[in-house]
Amino acid sequence: MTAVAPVRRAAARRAETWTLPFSERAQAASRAADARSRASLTRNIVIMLAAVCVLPFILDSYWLYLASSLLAYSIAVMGARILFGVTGILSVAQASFVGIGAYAAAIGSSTLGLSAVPEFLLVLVVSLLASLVVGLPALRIGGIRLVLLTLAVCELFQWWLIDARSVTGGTQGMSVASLYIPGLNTTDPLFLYGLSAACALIATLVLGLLPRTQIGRNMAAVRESEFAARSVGVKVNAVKITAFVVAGICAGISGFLVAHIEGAVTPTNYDMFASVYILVGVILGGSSSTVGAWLGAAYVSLAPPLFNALGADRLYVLISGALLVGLIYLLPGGLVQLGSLFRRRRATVRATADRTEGSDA
Amino acid sequence: MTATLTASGLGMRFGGLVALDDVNLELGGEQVIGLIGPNGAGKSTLLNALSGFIRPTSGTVSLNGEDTTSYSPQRYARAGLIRSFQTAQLLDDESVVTNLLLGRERFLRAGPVRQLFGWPPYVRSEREWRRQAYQTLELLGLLDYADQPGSALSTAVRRLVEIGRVLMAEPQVIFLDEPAAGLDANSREHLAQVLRSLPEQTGCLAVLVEHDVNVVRKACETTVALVSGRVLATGPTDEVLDREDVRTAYFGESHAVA
Repeated sequence: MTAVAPVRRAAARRAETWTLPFSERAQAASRAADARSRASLTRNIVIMLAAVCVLPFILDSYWLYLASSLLAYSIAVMGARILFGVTGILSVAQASFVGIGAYAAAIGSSTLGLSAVPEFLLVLVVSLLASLVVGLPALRIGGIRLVLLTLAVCELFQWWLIDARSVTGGTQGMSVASLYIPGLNTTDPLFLYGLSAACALIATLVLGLLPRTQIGRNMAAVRESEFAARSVGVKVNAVKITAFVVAGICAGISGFLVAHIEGAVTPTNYDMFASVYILVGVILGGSSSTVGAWLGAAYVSLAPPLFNALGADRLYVLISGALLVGLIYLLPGGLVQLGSLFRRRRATVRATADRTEGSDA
Repeated sequence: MTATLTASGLGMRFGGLVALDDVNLELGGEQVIGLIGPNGAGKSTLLNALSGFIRPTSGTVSLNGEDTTSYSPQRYARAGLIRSFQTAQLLDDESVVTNLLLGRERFLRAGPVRQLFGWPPYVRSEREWRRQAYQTLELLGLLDYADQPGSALSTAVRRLVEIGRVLMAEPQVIFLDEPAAGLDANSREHLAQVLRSLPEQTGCLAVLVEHDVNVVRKACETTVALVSGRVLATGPTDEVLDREDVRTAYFGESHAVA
């Protein structure tokens, strides 16, 4: 041994307790931050709950149907946000996962004649397995090659849907039997609306907590600096798989709801373009916020019928592309960023006014 | 007991280049140990090998007698050997508090489902960790930056935030890779003071790779001088820095600096 640095003070005094000083000021700052984040989550939940409760009274059945599919799609958008916006993994197969959930629901309710709960469990299990199947190879590759992998998944799923006619009904798709819950009229649009709203609210609440959990921080670390992640012991692959599974299960639940809202499933609803629209929804809503997912989902589910009503179906594709490019240039934080931009502008105006007054005096 | 980190016969070759050549060191105690040497002496390579970020081509690294040479960086970190980087690796879009909290990873006991559905023991530990993050910020004099995103910080503050993340991991051994590089005189002074007080406050061993001799003098009790991948001298900082062969290797023949 060349060097023996002496082992000096015995450090038994530390170990279990965190003995650093903690002043009044630091405690106050800590409490204030806690209160702020709790208040913003509570505010968002209250606004959403209010909106969700009021809408059935003012909407006719067609708009209620649109609102239901908006809520259902918002869950898929939230899932895609976790994978793309938070963890930084770009997948163009999110609509395939919605499709997997939708077809699992269709096969479960129509072909197998399952009642609601086993059918839902089937959807969860199938989504979980599918996201593991796609997520595991994705650990070995990243970036553009991963995009290509998910694109292949997307195309394979389409091919299977069209080819396995006896199971999936081919290009015609299949009809979806209504949910079977004894003693409940599940064909009532209000029921499906309520179910979608409940699922969307739970997803918003749970995923809204994500930034305040270690798994949420680990996802951000995987996105921003794998070095930082590894240096504190984050298991990067486990985090990536978790992101895939969260996105897959969200998409699956979304598909389950969509299948029952539409009453039918067809392959074209779950092709690559549908995935791109979900990504547009993520970017439009802003990748930093769960609330943004609702705005994004609003675009994805309301724009097509709107363009349809205007008699300009093709315009939807065109506008979505233009919107995507425009957003990335002008508003990388999404629509949610508009709010904070406005607040900052107002603060700047006020500060400037103060300064001007000061120099006058 | 404090950690003892041992390198025996450590060698590292990159192609034909010998970065480390038969390095034998035993680092231990509750203190800051400086690792100095001219450019290309193998300081960073040694740090990378000791923290598991590269695997040495020969020799072994062991922690408290256990051979850890083949551990992954994550496993080193989970054992309590935490490092910083020459370019501070922060999450630019996340707040300083979030950056600090990332450091608690090795104490995580709950899986993703329990975290997301608010398992009470996890919620309690999360609350505790937040309190610790603010305590650490206070220790480093960073309370005013708590809510700012990483991208809004100056180089000096980024370095301190990274040290904060290291501290949040309650490390046994801290590795710091040139934390004073690119800082102005005042920031260096502050940093040296913070480093000096670390072992006392956190009970850990800190290994510091540093070019700035003044920072080394102020912060380190023991210093190891490397030249051409070999250990030239070890001992109390002043003795090592005043040795003729170290001064020649480090500052050139003229002894202009220091």
